Order: sequence, then structure tokens, then C-alpha cells
Amino acid sequence: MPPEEISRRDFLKYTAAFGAGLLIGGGVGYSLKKPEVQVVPKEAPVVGEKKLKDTIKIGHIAIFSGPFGTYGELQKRGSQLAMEEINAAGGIMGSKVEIIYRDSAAKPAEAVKQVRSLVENEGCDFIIGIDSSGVVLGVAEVMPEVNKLLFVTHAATHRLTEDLVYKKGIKEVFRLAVPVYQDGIMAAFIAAQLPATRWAAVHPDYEYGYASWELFQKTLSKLRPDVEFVAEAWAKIGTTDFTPYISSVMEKKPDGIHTVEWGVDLFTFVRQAKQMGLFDAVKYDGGYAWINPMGYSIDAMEALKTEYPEGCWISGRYVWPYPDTALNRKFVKAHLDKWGHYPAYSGETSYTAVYLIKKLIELTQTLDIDTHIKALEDMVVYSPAGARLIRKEDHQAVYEVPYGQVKHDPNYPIPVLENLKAMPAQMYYKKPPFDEVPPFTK
Amino acid sequence: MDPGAIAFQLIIGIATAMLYWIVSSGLTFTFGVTRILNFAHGAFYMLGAYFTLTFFEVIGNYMVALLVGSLLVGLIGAGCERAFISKIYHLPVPFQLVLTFGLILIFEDMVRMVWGAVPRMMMAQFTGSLSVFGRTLPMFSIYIIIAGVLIALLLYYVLSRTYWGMQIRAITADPEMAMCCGLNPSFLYATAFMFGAFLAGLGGGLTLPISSAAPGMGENIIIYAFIVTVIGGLGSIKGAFISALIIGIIEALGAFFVPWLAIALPYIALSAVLLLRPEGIFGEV
Repeated sequence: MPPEEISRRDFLKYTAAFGAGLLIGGGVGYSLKKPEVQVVPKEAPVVGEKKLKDTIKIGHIAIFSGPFGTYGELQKRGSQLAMEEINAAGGIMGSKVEIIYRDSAAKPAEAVKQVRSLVENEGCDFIIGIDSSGVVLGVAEVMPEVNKLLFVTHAATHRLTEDLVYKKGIKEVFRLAVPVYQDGIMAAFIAAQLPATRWAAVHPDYEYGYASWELFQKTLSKLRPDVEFVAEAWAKIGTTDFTPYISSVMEKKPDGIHTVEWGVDLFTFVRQAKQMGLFDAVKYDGGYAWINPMGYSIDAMEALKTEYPEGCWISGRYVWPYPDTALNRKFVKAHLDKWGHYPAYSGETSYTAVYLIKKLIELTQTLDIDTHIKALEDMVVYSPAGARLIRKEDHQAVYEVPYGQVKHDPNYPIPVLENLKAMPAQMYYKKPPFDEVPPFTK
Repeated sequence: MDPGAIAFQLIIGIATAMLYWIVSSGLTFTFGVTRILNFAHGAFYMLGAYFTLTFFEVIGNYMVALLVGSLLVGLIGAGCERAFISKIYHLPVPFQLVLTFGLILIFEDMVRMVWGAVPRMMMAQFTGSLSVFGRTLPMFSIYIIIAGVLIALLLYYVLSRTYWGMQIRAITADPEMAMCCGLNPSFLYATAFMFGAFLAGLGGGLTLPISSAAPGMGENIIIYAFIVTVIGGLGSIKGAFISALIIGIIEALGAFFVPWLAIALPYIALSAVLLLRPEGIFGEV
């Protein structure tokens, strides 16, 4: 019900914002001769091109080992595709692009070591990637010291952009992926429309789980004062047996589940939850009151296939069917042709990161960090995931990603999404100074 | 408080405990005999899952796939013992750590090369459930409990009733005297290591139907296996069984009563045991 309760003033504001978005997006769309990542420059680019150096080197850090090692592969598919496309088309102003991949092993100290090594030994001009919230907080701190830009393509904690960029002023860090606002706040907007009133949590026991659950509760309490939060379970990353957690949660008789489990833990959890009847407990007329923000991750869909019950609400940091634009269709097709898999959300963010670097250099004609930061702030990036506004204050790319319900379709190798629900990102992204959780009253 | 809820949580805890027991049994057995702290145990666990998965895809029978897969892991274990481990029995403990850790890296990358980085799931086995205290007890919990008890009985039988088991006990109790009596230590250490690897493989294959096969999947469970082994007393099989029960049950009750503390409880138990009885419950000084 609550999204319907928007005040007239808000409605006008959002309509105006939507109109402005259309104008910018339409302008970009009109100017596009071919579907490719584009940026809207604030000033006209400098005329004339000169090669800055032979090779522009990008260091890409992700998890390449251990149970979550898939996530590195998913990112690599995106960045490598972008690199090959760019090099085939003549590189960046004549410079070849080279990406050096490094394993963070999901450990902050290891990732920091890799950043230093990539910059100091390999001479990388940019760093992209980073999978885990715990890791990104460590890496962000060293970016001013190594004096390179970091484009975060996966890690979602809001503390990165709110605390480190906005409050602490680390200007070298930009995030192209949706933050935990998608997992907590947007999830609550979906939950508010479901009949469930007794919500329970099953989350991984670290920063990302806590941040998502906190935002979910705060937003949902405002939207639906009638709901209760009845149980929570905090499972270790890499849990093999979720049954003690599932049974504990079921004992409190929830009729809605919010879970940000991801990767192998998600597969294990879904399989065990199904056999213990947790899905049956949260069933309603139109599906399951089961919200799993990172459920539409390609690895989960490929592993679970039809085992993920139809009608659950899931999302990602990008989902390949949305938006229906020429650029997105082209990206999905190129990804499928090259890798034989649909693009994962971190594949899209990595693809966009590499293209953004290209456009940034072409626009500024320099490798100077300060010029880059200035150019990036308030820039609109037209990408497969749609138009992203890089917000000046916190360097967060503001764009919306829909939630949808799992649908098993024999025409696709993985489940598809139906009943897509999206909302303008401005409505559910927290805004500077970050003291209020949506829905906004002022 | 509903007593049914606590009783049910206890059963769930016992199932979790059996999972920990299955993985720790091989670890503590190998250590008891060879005095090798085998970090690669988790890698054998992972191989067990992948072999079971592949044999299942070929044969179509889970039980056969599980047995063949685990035996193959045992053979690989024996190979590792002959090629590498046997060279370091006389060297200090840090050499064991480095060597067995190296094996983990090798096996993990091999798995990635053969099966790919994307985790794989097997068709669910033992689906269905029972109603216990008005709650849904999944069949796989029952199956894990049965498997755990069977492995305990198998270990008891092998060690107390077979000739090989008696030799193993002899060489564990007094290696020099056993050699004087004509026992062949190379053979016994290799077969003991093989048996430990077989148990690890069995653990991986047994958990496959409720989870997935992934590179590095043993990382988390091996930590629990070490906690269980240390609490029970390094090398004590009885100790591992009892301490697995303790850990599984406190984890399950912890999830129920103090969810925010649940995953810390095994470590708290470990710290308590190390402070009060460093050799473990059934350990020898």
C-alpha cells in the first residue's frame, strides 16, 4: 500500500525528476549512432586526440579462489568482454587496454596488498572490482595513498559511500553497483505490498547482512506500522547445514522471509529451506513472501534452476532483462555469444566500469586524477543497466534495478523474472546527509 | 516455552553434530596414527563431493557413486602419503602445515580446471520429511544421523575386530615395539592415511545432496572439524564423537535462544576447553 501514499508534492517532484531523466536519457538516446556505453559530458570535450600512453592498464580485483571464486569469473566475463570490444575498435585514443586480474581471496588485507602491487609493480592506471563489503572498506582507505581511482563493481555496504566518501572525503572511490539500499530499502518497498506481517531474517553474519536487515526493518516499519520482525538467524559464511537456523526461525511462525544469502550459501539454504517447508510457511495468493535481493545472480540461477520456487521475489545489482534498450540487448547478446552464459550483475558493472574509463579518458584527454574526479561528479552514464547518475556527494551511481518473481520458462536455460517492479532510484536511495531512511518525508 | 520446540531443536542439533563428526572422524584418525595434522582433509572432502557428483551423473545411483567416489579419494590420499607426507614424518610440525596447505591449493585449482569455478548441485536425494513434535524434520537430517552412527560403528569394528585395526592400534600405542614385532610402518601409515582420506571423501559425498560441490567448499567445515578434534582430544575417536555432539547441539540451541551469538558458541566452547583442559576431553597429555 505505501508506495500509493506518496504526497502530491512528492508526486510532482518525482514526475519532474522523471521528466528530467527522460530528457537527458532521450537526448543521449537520440545522439547515439550505435548502442555503446555513453556519457553525458558537462562541458564539450576538448577537440583533438593524442595518445596518452601505449597501454592503459586496469587492475581488476575480485574473489577468484575458494567457495565464492565464481564471483571473480562473473566479473571477469564483463570486463574482458569490454576490453576486447574496445581494443578491436582501436583502443582508448589509440592506447591498448590491458586488464590484470588479481584474487582478493575475500580478505581485506590481501586485497589491499593487491592494490599496492597493481599500482606500484604493474603500473595500473585504474582499479576496478571488489566483491565483499568487508573487503571494500579496507581497500577504499588506501586509494588516496596510491592516488588511483577505484570503481567498485559489486561490494554494497552503504558505509563505503556514506562514511568513507561523503563524511571522510575519500574522493578516489566511485561505486557503479547498487548499494545495500537495493537489498534493504527497495526490498522493504516490495515487502510492503505483500500480505505478510511477521517478517524473519536469515542472513550471512557480516557487514552486508546486518546493513541490509537494518535498512529493511527501518523502511518497512515506516511503510507498514502493522508489521512485526519476529526472528533472525545469522549463519556463518560457508555454512553447510542451515537446518538449526531454519528451524529456529520457523519456530517464531514468520509469514515473510528476508534473506541476503548469496553464492554457494544461497544454494544450500534454498535447498534445505525447501525440504523443511520454509517456503510453504510464507506462501500467499500471488507467490511467496520471500525476498532475496541477490537471488537473480546468474550462478544461483544456473545451479538451482527450477529448484528455486516460482513466485519468490528476487533482484540483483542489475538483471539482464531490464531495461529493454538497444544497448542492453546488445550487451546481453555479446555476453551470451562470447561466454555462453547470461551476464551476471557484476558482469554488467565490470563491463560498464571499463567503458566508463574509456569515455572518461576520451572526455578529459588526460590521466590526471583530479580532472577525472571533477568530470565524474554529476556525470550521467548511459550503460546496459540504464542511465546512472554518479552523485557528486557520495560518488554513488544512482540507477534503479527491478525486483521480479521467479518464473520457470522452458525456453530459457535459467529461470526468468516476471511481474517486474521498479521504482525511480531517487525514491529509495538514501541521500546526503544520510540521516533519513526512505520513504522520505521532506 | 514449548518443550517440543527444544526437543526438535535437539534432534536438528544431533544431525548437525553428525555432519561435524563425519568430517572430524578421518582427521582425528589420521592424526592419531600418523601424528600428521592434515590440513588437506578439507580438500579430500571437496574431492569426495565432486567424485560423487560425477559418478552419480554416470551411474545414476547415489549410494554406488558415493562409495566409488570415496574409495577413489582414499586412493588419492594413499598416493599423497607415499609421494609427499611420508617424506616429512621426521620433520617439525610447521613442515606438515606448509605441505598439507600446498596440497589444498593444488587440489582446489585442479577442481577448478576439471569442473569449473561455478558450484554444482546434484539432484536432491532423500527428499520428503517426517512430522516430529508437530514440526517438519527433513529426511536428510535422518539420513545424516544414520550415516554418522554407521561410520562410528564401522570405525569401532575396523579398529577393534580386524587384523589391520589391531596393527594400527599397536603402531599407535608403541611404534618401536610394533616394528620390533615385524609390523610394516610404511604400509600401516599409508593405509591409515588412505582410510582417513576415504572418510573425508565420504563426508563430502554425504553432504552433497543437501548442499553443493564448490571449489574450496571444505574451508568452513574443516574449521569445525578442527574445533571438534581439539575439544575431543587430538587423535581420540571417541572424543571426536562426543565433542561433535556438544558442538552440534550448542550451535542448534544457540541459534534458537541467542541467534546473534550462535556462530561464536563453538569457539567459546573451544576456548573454554583449551583453558580448562588443554589436552581435550579424551586427550592424553
